[in-house]
Amino acid sequence: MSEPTNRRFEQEWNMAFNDKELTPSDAVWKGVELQIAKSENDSNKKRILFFQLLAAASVSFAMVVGSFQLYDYYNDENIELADSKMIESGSIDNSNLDVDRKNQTDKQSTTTSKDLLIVDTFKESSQFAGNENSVTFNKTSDINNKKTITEESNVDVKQPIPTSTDQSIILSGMSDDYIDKTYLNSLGYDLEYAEPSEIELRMVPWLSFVGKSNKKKTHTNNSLWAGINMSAGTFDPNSSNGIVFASSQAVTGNNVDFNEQNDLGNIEPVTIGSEETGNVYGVGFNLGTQISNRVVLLGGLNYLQQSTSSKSNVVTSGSNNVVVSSSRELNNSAQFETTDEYEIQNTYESISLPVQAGYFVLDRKFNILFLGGIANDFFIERNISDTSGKSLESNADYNSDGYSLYAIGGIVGTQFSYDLGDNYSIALQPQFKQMLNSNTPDGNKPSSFELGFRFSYKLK
Amino acid sequence: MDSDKILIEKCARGDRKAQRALYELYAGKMLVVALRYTKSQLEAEDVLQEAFIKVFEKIKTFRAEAEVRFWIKKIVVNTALNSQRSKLYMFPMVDVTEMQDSFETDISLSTYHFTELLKFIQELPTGCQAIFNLYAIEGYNHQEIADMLNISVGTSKSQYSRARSILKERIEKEQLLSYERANK
Repeated sequence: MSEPTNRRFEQEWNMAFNDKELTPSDAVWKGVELQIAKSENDSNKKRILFFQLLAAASVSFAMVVGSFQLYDYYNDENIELADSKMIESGSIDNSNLDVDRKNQTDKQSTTTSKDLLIVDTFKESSQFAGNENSVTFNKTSDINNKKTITEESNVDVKQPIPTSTDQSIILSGMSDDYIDKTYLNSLGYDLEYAEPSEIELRMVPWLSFVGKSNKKKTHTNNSLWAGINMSAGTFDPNSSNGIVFASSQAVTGNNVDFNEQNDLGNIEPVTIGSEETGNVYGVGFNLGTQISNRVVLLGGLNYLQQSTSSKSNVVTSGSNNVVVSSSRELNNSAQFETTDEYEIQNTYESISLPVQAGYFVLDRKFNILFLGGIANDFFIERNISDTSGKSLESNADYNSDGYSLYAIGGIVGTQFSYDLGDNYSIALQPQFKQMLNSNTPDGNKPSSFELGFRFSYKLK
Repeated sequence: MDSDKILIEKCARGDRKAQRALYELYAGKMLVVALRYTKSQLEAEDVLQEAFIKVFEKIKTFRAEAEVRFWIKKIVVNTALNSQRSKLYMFPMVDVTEMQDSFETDISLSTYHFTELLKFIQELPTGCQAIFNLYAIEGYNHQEIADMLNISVGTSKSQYSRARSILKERIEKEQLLSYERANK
């Protein structure tokens, strides 16, 4: 059907409704308004819900990221702690190695897909380094950064991990090619990401009793600590000034008048014994500072009282009988006489200023510090007394004839300390001191072995 | 135009007063449009309400290429058609040969109030009513109507012719009644 050509009809109808209006009821707008408000509320609820979900997702994401970061942080701490340790050479027992692993030969390129962390060169003196079942690594230039081993450092892997009863090996982040997981798992550890500190503790059984702490030591360069210390030990005067005269005639010198005849008319021998090993006690305070990761400097001020004993049967004659403890005293102008043998107590008092350098062998909560240095001793007084009290004592200071103020000695020792929290530590320090010169006219160069107790506080 | 643009912007921001103003500006005309597609005032107001809800929901997407009244009218028409869709059914193809090829009419609608004409349109069958409105008043061609209502062009044409025939007879009858009343 063709379109109607006369469109007048349509035009009539169009014009009939052109711009015509009718007023709708109020309910229409109310309905519209109600629906608009409902839609806006729904959109607000959706917006709030969106932000709530966004906040929850953000918190969850932050927790996940934080967890991973924390895991990496502690993992890196252990790695860094292990990296900072350099184990000196020692014997390594390979006898516990499995035969299969011993026969395993796998020369591999060291360019691995995984980053290898610290590698360190074992000293030539190490059995491990010289053993055919050894693993030799090239030392990286920066042990604190993860680096891949270059192709030059080929590793002959026959025994990836040795056992040791007295030496610990630090391995950090070794790839699977180098770790015998079966062996390590047999020790009850999952070493997908091995914690070197744990390996160390396993390989050094006595260290297993040490509480493993993942907390990084707060020692930093220029840290300073102070403390008090007390010590006790044995003192060897290394004296050889004793004499025995069969008779007074053998004694040379002036004004020697020995009443050497006893009641029976026999001649009494003159006996002046040498000083015997005695005791040493000390008390003082100490200062220390860490100058590098492992090196410390220690100093202090100690009061020392060193005691020895000897025997003598000679006293000065007259109304006051003064003890005579050495043959050198017989050469003075005093008159001497023999008596019953009596015991002499020699007490030396001095001030000692030790200066030592230390090296941390173990720097954890439990620490081992090797020490060596010098002792600057300043002589105060020597007291010689009769333990029976029958004879008068004598005293000598550095102004007395033959005595000197200053003497120097060498000290070596080891400090075993335990950290109490972040700022305090207690320590036991056995040490040996050998004087290199003498304060006394006898020329003795005494030595001593002391066991000290220290209580320190970290100042910074 | 500028005032309409500002009004629309406010409506898009959710300004209730602007929305009310827009509604009052175009609700009267749109009600007439809705009455042409429905059978009653109540049904027309439902269509109007639903249409304006859609207007305010979609006003943010309105582009100022055309006047807003044509845009609102289009929404009202579509809303009305959707409300009548359940009543619209596929009309059988009418043999066009039965329809007159042309309509000559000397009917003048100026003597009728538009409310009476609304009644005439509302008396049409639902399908004829929609097609008549779309073709005669909205100005769509039969192809467009066929696409909108998912019918054939022939159906659209035949239904329109039917609508025109019905309306012509209705108007002629009304004119006869008026003449008889006037002569009494």
